Amino acid sequence: MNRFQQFCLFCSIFISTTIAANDLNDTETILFNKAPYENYWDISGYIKVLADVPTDNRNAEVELDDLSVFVSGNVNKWLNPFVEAEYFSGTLWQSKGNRKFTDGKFIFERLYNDFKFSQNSQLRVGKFLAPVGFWNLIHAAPLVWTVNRPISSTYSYSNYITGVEYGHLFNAMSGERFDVYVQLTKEFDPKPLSKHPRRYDKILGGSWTLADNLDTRASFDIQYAEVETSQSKRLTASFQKIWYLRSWDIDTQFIYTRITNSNAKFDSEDMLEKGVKNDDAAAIDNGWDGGGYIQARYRFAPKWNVYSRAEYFHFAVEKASGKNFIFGARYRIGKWGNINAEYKWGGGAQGIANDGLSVSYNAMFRW
Amino acid sequence: MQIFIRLILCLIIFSLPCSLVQANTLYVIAHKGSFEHTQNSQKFADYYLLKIKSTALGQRIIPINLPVNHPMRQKFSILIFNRSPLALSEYWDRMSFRGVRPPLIQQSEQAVVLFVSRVKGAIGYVSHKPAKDSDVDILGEISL
Repeated sequence: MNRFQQFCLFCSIFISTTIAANDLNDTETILFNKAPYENYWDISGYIKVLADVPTDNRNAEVELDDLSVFVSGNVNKWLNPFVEAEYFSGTLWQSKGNRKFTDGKFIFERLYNDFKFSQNSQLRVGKFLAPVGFWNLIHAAPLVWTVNRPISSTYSYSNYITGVEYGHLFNAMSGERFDVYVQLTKEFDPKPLSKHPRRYDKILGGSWTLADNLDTRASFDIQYAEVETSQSKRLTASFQKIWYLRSWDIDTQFIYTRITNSNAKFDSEDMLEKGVKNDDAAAIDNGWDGGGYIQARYRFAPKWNVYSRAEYFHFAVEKASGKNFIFGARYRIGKWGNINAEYKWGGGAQGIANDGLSVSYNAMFRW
Repeated sequence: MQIFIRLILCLIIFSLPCSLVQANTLYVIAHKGSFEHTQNSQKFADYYLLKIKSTALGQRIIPINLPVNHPMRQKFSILIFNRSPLALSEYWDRMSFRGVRPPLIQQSEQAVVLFVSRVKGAIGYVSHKPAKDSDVDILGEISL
């Protein structure tokens, strides 16, 4: 690690830990006579530093996986902006290879404004996260249980929407709501294809959240998307359910994507970049993607929990299906964030069977 | 020597009731005229989780919490949410990621009463019944 990398790492960790969110998420005491308690701006964010120690041929590496800062404003009915800027994949150390910290990328992950017509309905315009399962909506490392994200939660559909979303809350107590969204153009400021398998130019979707409260969350989501390069059409349906119990949390998601009118081997631009040959076409089942996972977390002490996940996934562009299994533990260091250590192993399709140990440090921070 | 021992015993006896006195009722208070009276703890939970963001009169709801280590905060959290403040912190982390700020904090019950009395839409909880001449309504009384 050179001096520049060390400096950047030091700055990132210093910023995130010195202004780390209070252990128990209290905002600071605000005197009532000068409080911006009605209309306010917030600046917060999170950091994730990841160490990957694979047991296969991949490089061992340490990287600044995510450094996100978000600014949100709550001004009036018409002005409620939200901006999330993210620097990701800045390599700090590699066992071999020549990736550098400065090879990391900077993007606007979210950039939108909410128009709040009433307490129960709002219109969102800009770039935002697609409501397909809860994981996609709250994917920040300190908020999810595991270091590695399930493939079911990210692979099959467009994670980001650049367009318009209308949401209506039916029942504040249960959290039942319905959202419908549309994208008619290319994604604004997309992540590179090494992070996402494909890009989309037309998207239409809906999400019916059956419950979203302290005890449970359940949603049924559907998304139709046209892939930018192959023009294949992907129709995805997903169901997710989470139970928040006293010491246990259980989370499961199932997803199915029907792919039509496609030259499916090119459906994944990532595969195209790898040089998949036409001869491979026979080996490719271009009909569908899909799979599911179940994971559970057990809190055995106030700051400790252990978790495990089993996942199965079928790729349209791979010869074999894949399955994986992870087991890990998380320690909450109070306001200084969390440390996760997990082991992942699997088999079958490439990309799902990256066996090895992952250790991450992650923290939320708030000004 | 005996006088000294008696004095010590007296001190212990008279100091015991003070240390054993504990609030047995929690009063949920709100700015005068902002809210309807209710005993529904689910309603309080919705106010504090910011699921309901404005009153029937259209006033923005501003829930006020005591510090996390305050005994009344602990009791309120268990009674209303059936969870400790620590367990609720994950909820507020998730909300923060979606641009929603957690409730404000006031350091003492007196500060809560003062804040609630002066700010429209404010709601808080205290262990002592506020004075009648204070500008707050008692929305609910919850036995501890």
